[in-house]
Amino acid sequence: MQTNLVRIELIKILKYKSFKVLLGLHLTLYFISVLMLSQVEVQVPGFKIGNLFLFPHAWHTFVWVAGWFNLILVILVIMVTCNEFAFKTFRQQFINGLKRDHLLAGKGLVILILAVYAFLMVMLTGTFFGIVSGSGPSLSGFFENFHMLFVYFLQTVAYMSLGFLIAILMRGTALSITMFFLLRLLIEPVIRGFFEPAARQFFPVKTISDLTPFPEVFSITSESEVMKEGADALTFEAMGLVSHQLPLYINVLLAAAYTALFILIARFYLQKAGL
Amino acid sequence: MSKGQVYGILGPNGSGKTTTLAIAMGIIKSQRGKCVWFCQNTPADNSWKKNVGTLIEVPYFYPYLDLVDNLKIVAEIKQVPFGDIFRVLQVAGLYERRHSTYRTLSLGMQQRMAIASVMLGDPDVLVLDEPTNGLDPQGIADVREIILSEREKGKTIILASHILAEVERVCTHVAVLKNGRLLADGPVAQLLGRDETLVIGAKDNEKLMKALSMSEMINTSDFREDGIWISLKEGFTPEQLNRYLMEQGIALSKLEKKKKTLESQFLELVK
Repeated sequence: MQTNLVRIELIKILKYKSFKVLLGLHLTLYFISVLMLSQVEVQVPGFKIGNLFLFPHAWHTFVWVAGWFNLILVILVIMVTCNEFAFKTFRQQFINGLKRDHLLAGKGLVILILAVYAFLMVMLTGTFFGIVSGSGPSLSGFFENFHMLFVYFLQTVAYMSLGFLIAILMRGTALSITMFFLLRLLIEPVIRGFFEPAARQFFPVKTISDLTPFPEVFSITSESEVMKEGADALTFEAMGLVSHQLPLYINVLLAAAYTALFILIARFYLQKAGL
Repeated sequence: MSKGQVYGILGPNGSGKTTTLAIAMGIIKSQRGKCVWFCQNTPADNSWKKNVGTLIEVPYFYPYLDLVDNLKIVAEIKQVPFGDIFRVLQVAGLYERRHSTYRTLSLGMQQRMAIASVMLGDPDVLVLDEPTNGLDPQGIADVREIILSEREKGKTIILASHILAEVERVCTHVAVLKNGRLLADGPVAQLLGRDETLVIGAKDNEKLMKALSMSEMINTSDFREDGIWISLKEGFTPEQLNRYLMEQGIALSKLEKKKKTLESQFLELVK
């Protein structure tokens, strides 16, 4: 018989009411947002909101919407991590025979479970809306931007890893959530401001946030390919609406590197600190 | 500490009992010295802990989980079949409350839950830090019974406590700590037998005192209401003393061994 960390973590989270409520809220808010977006009326010639839901654009749209609610996933990870300190259960489990790396791996599994849940949520809704809104030909693009789902998966893992690191360092739920907010909305943006615009793209929160940018609505038309080619020039960046963005693959590599860094720092701290 | 011993760690508040156990379990790193488990494992290597049931200070469980779920987590960590959960809940007297959440338990019941958790998987070694904390008289008696029955099974038990009467009843060996230092250790009988006290009396106690003051056998003597309290120097026996006094023309009307309690010995040591 092997110690089953997945089973241990599932016992902890599946019977935790606050966790279930927040997870339900995440799912509900995401659904409502998708439904509301589908009802928005946009007066742009050649553009219909329904186009956002057509393959292959659907994946960009759904990961972008899902990205709004990453904060709830981060709060969930912070909550379950800080609980271990508040209840002193990390200490007790260490006494009972878990290694410090097991404690880290347990929370890593929670992050993965949540990321898989979010991945499936976006994939299922994307597939459903894509099929419902699209006519036959749009299905051909099903796999075209499918990689965006994996990018979104990385984004959730990266954000949750950052939340986990903050929780390990701060140990209090309220303090950790506040720190995460401040880091995302104030601290990093202010620090970024001191750097050249080109360098700003390399900051952790910016890198992770840029993984699921606002869909290029002006390049999404239901018109002919000829029209589409022309519209492609109308990117937000070309119009000066957003700052320069790194190529996606660079963003992905950076976000993965930052995620590894967050986990390594958390591991280092967990090895040294008292429980 | 050897297999089968019930080893009591005694000491006043702040003497380092819990710290010693925390070092042994790898929660705190020691500044000096070394702790080895099962002749080979260090506290940092955790594999041996599955064979040790530990309660340090107060028990820590998930307040929102019921008792069975809390013990399932412990069982998973210790790789113990879930069936054992119901056995230990029975032993700890919590079977009826098995579906209550941990937060609804009284302090005494939380302590019982800790005992249940410690017993899970029938480990060879039990480490118990103040296991009777917060328990009612019945609970204290239950814990004593559990410890005695585990002792019967040949289990090794390390017990930190300041309830000396309990320690005296269950322990085979004790160590006394003060300010992080070891004052004395050894088998309970040996520790209590040290500096044995005799109460003696004769018709003429003044003559007796005079004879005692001339003897080389006497370590201390104290004239009290119920007789003269003396302790003999090492190597001398009450028989030798009696013979000496007979030679001095004194017939003893009273010769009584005063058995020391652990409490009196403890208080003398930590004074």
